[in-house]
This record gives sequence, C-alpha cells and structure tokens, in this order.
Amino acid sequence: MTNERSLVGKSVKKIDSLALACGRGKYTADFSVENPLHLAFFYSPLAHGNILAIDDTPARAMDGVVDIFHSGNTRSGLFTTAGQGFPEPSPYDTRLFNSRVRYHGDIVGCVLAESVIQARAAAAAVKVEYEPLPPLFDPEQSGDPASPRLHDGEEYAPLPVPYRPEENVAGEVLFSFGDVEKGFAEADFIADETYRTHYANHCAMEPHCTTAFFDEKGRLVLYSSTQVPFHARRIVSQAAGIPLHRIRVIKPRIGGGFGGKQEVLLEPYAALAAWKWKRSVKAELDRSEVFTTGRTRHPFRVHMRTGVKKDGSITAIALDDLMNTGAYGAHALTVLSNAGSKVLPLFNKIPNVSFVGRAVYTTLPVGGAYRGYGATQGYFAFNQHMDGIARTLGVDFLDFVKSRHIQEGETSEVFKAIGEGTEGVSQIIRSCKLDECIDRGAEAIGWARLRGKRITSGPWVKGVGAAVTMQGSGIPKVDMASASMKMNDDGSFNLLVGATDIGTGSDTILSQIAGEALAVPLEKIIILSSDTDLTPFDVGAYASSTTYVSGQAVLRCALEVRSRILSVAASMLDVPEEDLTVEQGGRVLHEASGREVSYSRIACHSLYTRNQFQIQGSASFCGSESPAPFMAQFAEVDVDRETGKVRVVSFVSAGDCGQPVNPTLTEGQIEGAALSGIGYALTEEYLFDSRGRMTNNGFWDYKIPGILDLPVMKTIIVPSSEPSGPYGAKSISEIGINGPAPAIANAIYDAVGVRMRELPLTPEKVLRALQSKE
Amino acid sequence: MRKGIFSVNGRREEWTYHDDDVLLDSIREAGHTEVHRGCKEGGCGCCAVLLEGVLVNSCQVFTASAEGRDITTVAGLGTIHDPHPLQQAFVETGAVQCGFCTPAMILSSYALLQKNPNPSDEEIRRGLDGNSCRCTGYVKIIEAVRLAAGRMAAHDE
Amino acid sequence: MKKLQWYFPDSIEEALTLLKGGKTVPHSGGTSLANRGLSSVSALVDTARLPLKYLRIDSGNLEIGANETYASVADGLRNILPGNLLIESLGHATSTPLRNRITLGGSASLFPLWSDLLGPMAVLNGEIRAEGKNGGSYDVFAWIRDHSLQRETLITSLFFPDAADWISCYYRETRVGFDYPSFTVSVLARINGKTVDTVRIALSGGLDRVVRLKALEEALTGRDVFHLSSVDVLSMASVPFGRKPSGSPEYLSAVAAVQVKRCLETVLLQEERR
Ligand SMILES: Cc1cc2nc3c(=O)[nH]c(=O)nc-3n(C[C@H](O)[C@H](O)[C@H](O)COP(=O)(O)OP(=O)(O)OC[C@H]3O[C@@H](n4cnc5c(N)ncnc54)[C@H](O)[C@@H]3O)c2cc1C
Repeated sequence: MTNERSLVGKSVKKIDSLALACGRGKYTADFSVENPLHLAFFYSPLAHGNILAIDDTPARAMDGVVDIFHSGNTRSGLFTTAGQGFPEPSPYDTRLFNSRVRYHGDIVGCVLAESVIQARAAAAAVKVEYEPLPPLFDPEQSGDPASPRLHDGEEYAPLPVPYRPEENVAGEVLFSFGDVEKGFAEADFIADETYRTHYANHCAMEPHCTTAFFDEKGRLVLYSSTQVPFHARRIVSQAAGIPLHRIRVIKPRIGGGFGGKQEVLLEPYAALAAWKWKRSVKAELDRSEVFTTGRTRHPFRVHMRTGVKKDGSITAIALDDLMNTGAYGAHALTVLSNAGSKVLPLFNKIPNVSFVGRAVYTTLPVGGAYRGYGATQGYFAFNQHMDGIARTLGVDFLDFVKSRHIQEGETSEVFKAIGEGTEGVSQIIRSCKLDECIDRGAEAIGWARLRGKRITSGPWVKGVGAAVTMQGSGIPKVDMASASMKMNDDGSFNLLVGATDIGTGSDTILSQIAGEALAVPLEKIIILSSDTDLTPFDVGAYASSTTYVSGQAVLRCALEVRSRILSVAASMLDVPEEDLTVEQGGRVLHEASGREVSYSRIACHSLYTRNQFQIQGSASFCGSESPAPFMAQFAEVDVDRETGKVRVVSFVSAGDCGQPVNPTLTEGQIEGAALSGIGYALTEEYLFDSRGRMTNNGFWDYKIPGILDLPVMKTIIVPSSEPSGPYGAKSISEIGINGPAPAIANAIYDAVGVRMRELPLTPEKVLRALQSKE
Repeated sequence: MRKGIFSVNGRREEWTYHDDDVLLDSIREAGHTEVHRGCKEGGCGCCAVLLEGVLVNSCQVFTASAEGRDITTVAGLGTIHDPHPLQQAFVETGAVQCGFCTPAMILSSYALLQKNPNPSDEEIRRGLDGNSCRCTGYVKIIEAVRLAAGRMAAHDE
Repeated sequence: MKKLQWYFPDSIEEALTLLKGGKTVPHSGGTSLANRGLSSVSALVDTARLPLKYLRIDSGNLEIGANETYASVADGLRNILPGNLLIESLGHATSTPLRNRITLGGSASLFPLWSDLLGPMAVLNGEIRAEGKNGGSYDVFAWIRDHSLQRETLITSLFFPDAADWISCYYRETRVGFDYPSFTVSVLARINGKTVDTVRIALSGGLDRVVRLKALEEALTGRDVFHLSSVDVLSMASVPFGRKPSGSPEYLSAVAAVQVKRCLETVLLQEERR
C-alpha cells in the first residue's frame, strides 16, 4: 500500500450534513409515535429534606392524567445515572424516586398525561409535604461532623473503589511517588496557590428527550438523545426492571451532547411509564430543566504546591483537589481522577509527585461528564500556576513548558497509577508534537510582539497568555468498540457501528476509515450507527474514544472484509492470494497478468455463483493505551482597567491529534471547544440563592458566547502519526476546551498583573482584583 | 381551540390549535419538525422561521397572530435533491455539526442575504446574532455565508 | 392551555371599544405576552391591522407608529434621520429575530428595566401618545410612574420633538453580544464651536429605572467642551442599582458612571469609543 491516501486526511463533506441543512435530519422529539402519553416531572423545592407525604389525589383527578409516579408508589433499586462501563465506577446512590430530596431540582416524581400541558399542570398540582433538613452548600465543610450526611442508607459503590458516604465522600484518589516533603525541602521556593472553578452547563442546543413506543412484537423501543445507547439499554433495564432483551435503543440524530447526554436521565422514566401502560410515551426536558436537573461541570478547588530550585528545576508537586459532585456521585471518581491523570503527566520529569483528590457530596446540582472531564478544571490551575513560576524564575512561559513537558518515547508514573475506577495503564508516549504546536501557535498569536508589552489604548491594556494541555483517546482496557460490515452486489458495503455520532461527524470519519481500507469511494460505505438491535456494541461517545477506539474497530473490520475479498478474487482468477493487490475504486488486480476483477463481480460471485457465502466481517477493539493529543492555546485579550471587562481579541489553538482523519471536522471540533471554553472562562456560571436554588436557569441569564462574541479564531492542526491509532489518528474532541480559561487568565495577568484564581473571570472580579492590587 | 389557514413553504394548510399556542408548537405539530425547540424563551434562535419573509423566533409568536400568513422553513429553501446555495455552502464549509441550529441558522442567513446580498463579516455576525450554536464556534458558519453570498451574487449577474 | 379571545380590529375605534373592561389587552409583537404569562388576560386585541405603522418626520419632529418594530425603526431612520440615537439603541438591542418582532407600543407599555427604548425616550424628551380611557400625550417619567394609565388605553405612537441634528452616543452594558442590557447610557448634545449648547444624559437600569442626570447636564451646559475634564462625572453620574446577575449594586453603579463619562467624552470631545 502506498502512503497516498484517498480518504483519510481529506475534508470530505460530513455525510449527514445535507440532510441536516435541508431540515431532513430527525431528532428524538421529531418522531411521531402512535397516540403518545407525555411525562412531566415535579421537583424538590428544597435543598435537602425528607418527603413525609405525597398527595396526588387532586392531580390524578385532573384532565388527561393517566398516572403519577413517585416514591410513595414506585420502588426502584439503587443505581447510577452515569452512562459508563459496567459495573460503573460511580456509586449507586440514587433511585428513580428518592424519598429524600438532596438538592433544589431533585426529581420527586412525574405525571403521565395525554398532553404535555396536562402533564405539567398536574405536576404542579401534586402536593408534597417535606421535613426540611439542613443543607450543605460548602464542599469544604462536607467532612465536618456537624454537617449533614447526604447518603446514609444502602448506597454503595459497585466497584471496589473508595466510597465513604459517612464522610460525604463520593470518591477519592490518593497517589504519590517519590517523596514530596523531601522535594519541598530541596526547593528554593514553593509556589502555593489555590484555584477555584465553577458549575457550568453543556448547553447542547437540543434538550434531553426520549420517545418510547412498542414494536409489533411488544418490545419497547426508545428513541433517545443519548451519547450511550448501549449503556442506556442496560441502565433502563436495571432501573426500570424491564428485561434487557425486551428493550431496543435507537439513537437518531442528536443535537449535541458534550457529556450531558452521557447520563441516563429520561430513558428509565419514559420506559417505566410506557411499560406499565403499554402506550407510547414522550419525555422532553425544557431548557430550565436541562440546567437544574441535567448534569453540570463539577466545581473544583485545586490546591497546588510546587517546589522549585533557582535553576528552574521542579523538585516536587503536590495537588490537593476537592471536587463538588453535588447531590449524587455521577462520574465523581472518574472526573476527579482525570483532574490528576490528564494533567500531571504533562510535566513528567518531576521526581516527587502527590495527588490527593476527594469528591464530596453537597446539596447542589449534580456534576457529570462534560467535555474535558476534570482536565479542564485541573489545567485552569496548572497553567496559571506554571505561568507564575516561570515569571518568578524570569523565563518565558513557552520555553519553560518546552523544557519540561513529556516527549515522544517518554512515560509518566501517573499513567499507571490513576485509572478510571481501576488502576491505570502504563504507556509510552509515541507521538507528541507539542513543541511545534507551541511554536506555530506563538507565531500566529504574535507572542513575541505582544507578550509583556502591555500595549495600552485608553483604558484598555493588551496581554497575551498561553496554556498547554493533553487529554487521552479512550479509557485503556475499558472502552470497547465494535463494528460489522457486509458486502453488497455492487461492491458497496454496509458498515454497522455502535459508535454514536452526536454531531461530531463520527459517522463520516468512520466511513472514511472503512473506505480507505477497502479502497472505495465514500459513497460505497453505507453507515448505520447506534441501534442496539442492529449495530454491534460500543461504549458510546465519550472519553475522546470514537476516532481512536471505534476507528480501530472499523479499520480491523474493514481489513478482515478485505482479506475475504482477496481470497474470493484469488479463487476467481485462480492465482495465489499473495499476488493480488486491492486497487483504488474497488478492484482486485493480478499485476503479473494484468487481469483484474471488480468488487461487484467478486460480491456477485460469492453471493450467487460458487461456494456461496456473504463477504462480511466484524471486529472489536479495546485499546491497551490511550495516546494523548496535545494542544497549545493562546489568547490575546484587552482588559479595561476601569471596568474590569475582558475582551478576547484573538484566540489560537494549535493541536496535535495524530493524523486528522478529516481536517475540516477536526477544526470544527477545536473551534467549538475553544469558544465553549471562552464562555466557561468569562460568562457562564450557575447563580444560586441562599436556599440553593439556581436563579439563572435559562439563556436569559446563563450567557453562552454567541456569534458576536467570537474572537479572531485561528486553528492550526499540527499533524503527527500515532503508531497505535487507525491511520495514525488520536482524539481531538475534548482537549480544546481545556486551554481557554487558563490562557485567558494568563493573558489578563500579562496585561494588568492580577492573578485570577477563581472562575468565571467576570468584570466585577477582575475590577476588584485590580483595585486590591493598587 | 381554533382552526386556521396557514401557508407553509407555499402550501396551504389548515391547523387546529389552542388560543395561546405559539407558532413553534403548532408548526411542529403540523409535521414541520425541521423547526427546532431549543429553549422557548427567544434565547437560542433554533426555532426561527420566516414570517412573511421576516425572520422571527417562532416561540415568540402566537399562532393566532400568524393566521393566514406565509411561513417559510428551511425545507422551503431547498431539498436534498435541489439544495439552496446556502444549504450547499453550509455542507461544503463544514458549518454543520449536530445540525440542530442549522435550519434556523440558514434561514437567518437567507434573510440577511435578501436584505444585503454582499455583507461584510461584521454584518454577517449581526444578521446571525440571534442564533446560538454550541458545536462549531461559528467560524465555518461565517465562512458558509460568505461562500453562498459570493455564489448567489455571481449567479445573479 | 388557556381560553383566550382573539380580536383583529381594523380601526383604532374598534380596538378601543374592544379594550373596554380591562381583561382585554393589546397584542403587538407578543414577545412579552408569550413569555411572561397571560394570567390576568382573557382576550387579546391584535394591533397588526391598525394603521400604526409609520415613521414621520416633520420640521424636526419625529413620530413613530406604535406598531413599528425595533428593526423597522432602525432601518427606517437610517434613511431619514441618519445618526439618530434610536438607530444605535434599537438597532443593536437584543437579537435580529427579536428586533423584527418587538414593537415600540409593546415596549413603551412595559418599559422593562432592560429596555433599550427607555433611555433614548428620556433624552429625546419623547412622548407616549395614547388613545382610549387615558388618552393623551405623556412624558416618559409620568408614564412609567403610573401603570394605571394603561387601563383600556392604546398606545398609538411615540413622538419625539426636535429629533434632528444631535450628536449622540448610546451604550448598552451586556455580558455577551446577544444580551439584554444591565444598564444603558444615552447622551445627546449640541455643540456650538467649542461651547456646549445643550447636553442631555440618561441612565437606565438602576433602581429608579431611568434618570436624567440633570446636575451633570447643568454643570456642562454653556461651558467649553473641555470643561468636561474638570467635572467630577464619576460621582455625579453615580446612581443606585439593585443586584443583578451581571454584578453587585456597587459594581454596576460604578461602571455605569464610567460609561457615562466615556459617552460624554465621545460626544463632547468626539473621541472614538473603542
Ligand atoms: C429574549 C428577549 C430579549 C429581550 N431583550 C430586550 C432588550 O435587550 N432590549 C429591549 O428593549 N427589549 C428586549 N426585549 C423585549 C421586551 O422584553 C419585551 O418583550 C418587548 O418590549 C415587548 O414588546 P412586544 O411588541 O413584543 O409586546 P407584546 O408582548 O405584544 O406586549 C407587551 C405588553 O404591552 C402591551 N401592549 C402591546 N401593544 C400595546 C399598545 N399598542 N398599546 C398599549 N399596550 C400595548 C401588551 O398588552 C402587553 O402587556 C427582549 C425580549 C425577549 C423575549
């Protein structure tokens, strides 16, 4: 095979995009099912309390009401809503209907009615009597004996992981190597800082939705806006008590996920109600419910201490993270782990390292998976902390990073130590072009021209800052993907994958990989993704796994099919298989004789002519490592000294994701992540009143960046080749959200000399910092 | 309940709807699910349609007040067999990711180009300022509008 | 789901008859009615067919029909009164699809704290013209003080006397580009040579909804433009605020004063604002 590639590395059009642009893409809410009932939830008005009594009699008498479910009439086992591998690394600490509410917005029950309006009206009419319990809002006080315990029943962790609800600890990660105290003793100075990050929401444009109906065999079919159809099927079965073989989950087009739909939120309720009444059921959250009852980015307190010698060598680093998981522990342990395992390996030459991470319960909204998954929070602290150390040493931040970051051929103790609910997996970095990312990004932002210059225009002062990050590509030895493929009469192929395209373009890039391996044009690959009846298993769209893990499964599957094609061709041409080559366009050539057969003839031969069988294949892949993509991101900001306003003028991302399978889609991932990260840095936040109620649960006051807020955005793909990846590819979807907050904060420091240690970087906070500096 | 005539993408339709229904719900109920529900508070623009050629958030318009009017959704601009240059340009530039905002984004672009066939980047931003997208970071959306504007202008010459 | 009577009158007289009784209210853009509830409403009188869509300029006096939208006003004025403050304020309010829908009548009925119409009304000495039970012409301060004026009353137009030939500056404080303003600053001036003939300054969004900064206006009027630098604008422009999602009362009060100062610099010293 030559290196000349026909599909991989080409910006082919996203295969579903024309349908979407013409309004033909169907999302979960768009399916019309026969005579559906509608679900509406009612929620806790308290941060913490016991449900004493539920009076649903008046509500049941209302027009159109079919049923009302709550803890008073519906028992369910403990489970986790986190859509992860089984058993999940998240604690089993919730039921469909808890008899105790643990945050303002906790689900108390739901009404099933003939229309949405009727369901909502009845939901508002259900009377619930509570015994108020003391709330717990401050994660720092979660361990205080005087604080309430939020989970003191039968809650447990299904995996042997640290879980101590008696201390409000939902997860814990302890790890060290070397001797940090000794390291600190050897240091000339110790940088000791605390950073804080905040609650944020994914804000996928499509709210969560599930549509349930019965097929002609009486099996329950769920269309769902999910990133994890197979986990959803399993968890629905578990939580709603429906045999798994009676459930089919179909993922239609999904209106964005970003981790928010890695949670199995609505599916069990829709399934429960449909199963009981044997009717179609629709459940759709409105935007305010997505904010309060959907999942969030876990807030962190990061305490970072680093011992440094005058010559610049780092003698020790100690990371002490306190993560607020909210009322339930969805993804608690794993997000916490990632805040260490995706951050600490970046500076892999530090001899003494310790990481103490604790995830604690509070009576606030529930954290969950969110693009970046802990790395975002960790890197906010890490990059500012290192920027500060570089400044103390009087060296340029970029040079400082370059001489310390992990390089090709190197490893880190952390890889082995910290996994996701299990031990980690040791690995050697086999592709890393971070230096080139730094150089090209610095050039694009004008680092040399701007850094430290404090160019001033009226009240505005300019600064430039950078952040460097790494992520992973799937969870090694955990995430598994599979694909199957069959060949049709005309030499086209059906490709069936469990991999879940939620708007990322994975259907397209997986088709590219298959088409590349089989030397056929893209239109000859007919892909179907994510239907638990039709497609093979895949863990789903998370952990930056799809390109690398699912891509590898597709590649293996395609190569298997290719070898079957060659063997049929060999018998047709009556030549040894080894003498045959696959040629572009779907032909098999016997070079010596110049004879060739087309795929179509091969397919027909095997379907109809002799030794009939269908040419097909299937393959699974589970990575034994998780190669890291790397990125350097740069922000040029203007800071208004009189108002504290920060304007991001220009933003550059330079990333190494191995071989980009589709450069346009790759850029799209980076650009979207970068702008989301800018919103996270500047304007997005959850505001709470004194009772723990979110006061800004709508786009009116939860401000995500719009098109007017877009800075000059430059994206540079620095290609490398990852030996373990499909055609050299690594992941790209998450990493780009990690750098904006620290890059902007570092730029603010560069401009006006204040260190912003608490997100978001609102004008008021910046102004206050400026004033207290004076 | 009310009954009324509406013209959607040039076709006459009769809908039955509630007195206080908003156009978003009614038009979806009538099967035009290409009009998407993102927030119902005027904050995301996913539900935008053209009402008598004017871009509006269909969640902010009472159905009763739109009776007898012409409504255009993205399906009225072009089809997968015969796409509008804007639809084509969104596809070619990679401006479509999850696609949930796309129909309304394309309608906003269309309304903009009707008024201003040769917009500057700043004018493109202004024209699309009511449409949120969480996937793309807007970079390729701006590119798409620019590309389509160029092609449409060339076509008109 | 609520029972609502809809009326589509063709004439103002007919509309006024329908408005009698109080539980019937006008419907214009619907952007507030669709969001903030119809709880006390039993019928809506749609204003779309009323002859309330016009922009008239007559010897410097501007009159705008209540059914003109933010977008149509901004577009229309660009031709007939370029540089007018309303172009900047209404043309950049909220988002394109909302500007296409929000009417001046609906806005003047509510004048919410985040209004982009309120400040400009205050400096342009705009009048609300209404017909019906409390028909008449009202200045904005009298109008917002007494909500009962709106009973059985239809806003027909906004009237701006002496609307031409101002130097103006408008500022809206927002967190992102598409946002409602936490406060707005409106400044109008006429300058003769280097002397400030007239200056009008309004700040909206604070506890008093909208204020004219009269003391500041007086301190600047009749003086050389450069006198601005010797006036303590920051303290004279300080007005009380409530807490908002965008900031504390102290912060908003302080930055609003900063923006007043900047608008004045722009208008009086013609400094390009960044
Ligand atoms: C998401 C969003 C963002 C917004 N941002 C801004 C912003 O940044 N700046 C800004 O200025 N505005 C903004 N608004 C608009 C504002 O909040 C109101 O919705 C708007 O002013 C109402 O105008 P309308 O024409 O839609 O009125 P309608 O909703 O039709 O009516 C509003 C009220 O006025 C009454 N009314 C209507 N017409 C008349 C009339 N002719 N005479 C007497 N009474 C009448 C109605 O009975 C009703 O009580 C925003 C609205 C939304 C939904």
